[in-house]
Amino acid sequence: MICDLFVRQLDRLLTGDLRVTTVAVMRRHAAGCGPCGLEWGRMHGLRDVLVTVADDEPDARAVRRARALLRSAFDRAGHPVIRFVRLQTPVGILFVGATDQGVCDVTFGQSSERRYRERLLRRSPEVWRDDTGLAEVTEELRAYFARELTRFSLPVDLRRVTPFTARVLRETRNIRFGQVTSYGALAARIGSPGASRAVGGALGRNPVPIIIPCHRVIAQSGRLGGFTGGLGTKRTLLGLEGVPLL
Amino acid sequence: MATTRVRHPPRDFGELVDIHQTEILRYLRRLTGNPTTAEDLFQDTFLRAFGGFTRLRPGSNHRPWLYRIATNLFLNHRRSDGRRVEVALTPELPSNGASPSTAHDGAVALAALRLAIGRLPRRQRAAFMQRQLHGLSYREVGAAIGCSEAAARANVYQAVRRLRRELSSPG
Repeated sequence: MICDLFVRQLDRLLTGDLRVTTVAVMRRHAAGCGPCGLEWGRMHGLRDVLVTVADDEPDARAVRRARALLRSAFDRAGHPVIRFVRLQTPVGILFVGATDQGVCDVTFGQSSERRYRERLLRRSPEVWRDDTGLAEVTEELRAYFARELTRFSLPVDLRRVTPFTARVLRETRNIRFGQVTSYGALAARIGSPGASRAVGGALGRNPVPIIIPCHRVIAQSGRLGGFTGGLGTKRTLLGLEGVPLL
Repeated sequence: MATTRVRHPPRDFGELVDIHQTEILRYLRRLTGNPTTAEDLFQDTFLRAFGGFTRLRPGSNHRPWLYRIATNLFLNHRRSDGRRVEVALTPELPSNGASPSTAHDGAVALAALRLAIGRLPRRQRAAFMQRQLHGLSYREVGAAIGCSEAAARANVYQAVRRLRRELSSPG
């Protein structure tokens, strides 16, 4: 009878689910009973092997490798690592984010770094501020606002926009410093005359304003049209570029 | 037990990965016995976790949640390497500080254990690993393999019984 109990409890010995007093009773039984003593020994043998297994060293190299692979998997799935800078400019505080491929975000009117980071964290698992790594971004924007630079050489990452929007934005990049064009003219230039409303929509989804100068696109009538950063900002940017406004 | 324990919940997803990457990778390597398969499942685990992370309620326990994702991926993973999986429990055989014969005995015992664990049904194997090697509570094991606490306990005991039988039978 006691042997039955012993065998029934044996598995719990390994998982550590038994009370100390129960273990003591079992140990005494195993010492006096041949077959149960054998089982007792085997169970402890198994436990000893498991202990060596549990103690295995963390394989740091394997973890680093898996993490690197994970990063590229996230990148392929549209969640790349994003680094960002915070800049003080004539149009207020700007946050500029970039992936390995290029600038992917320019945000106006956000003063909280924490909130900006939280927003980016919804689309990327890794987001951090990197003033040194993005020194080139800072320098080009500084030079632009100082009117020393009229054409950005920074690459942009437009992977998150639709092909149509990307087409509109790439064409917008060709509008020169100090010049303006109309929504209709831009539509015609991408081969979709009459699509000026759609072009306006695409410009409204420009993730990288200033660097892609959507502020240089205005209404046919000469009115400003729209701008994600607000019309005041659009006016300031055009003023800075020396565009006479109505 | 090389498990990182933190008192505060991860502030963002990157921190979640930092905290749990080692144990999840080790768990998947132990389960699959194949480093490449483990790497694939590791990526899938965290890609899925990223999708669900923002929807997770504050105060949720991330650990069993990650084990659940990893376990589900493992359970649904196509058996591509044949029926028997040799489970890699440790990357290298123990050699430091042990005499040659002890090291040999240890290696033999470990190899036998690997084979025996590899022959366990997948769900039992997962439950056993979580409980014995990763220190999850029965409740967490239940949450991770999608069953009650009592069923989780039963899975672990069944695994132990099988291992004990396998390892005590000669040959």
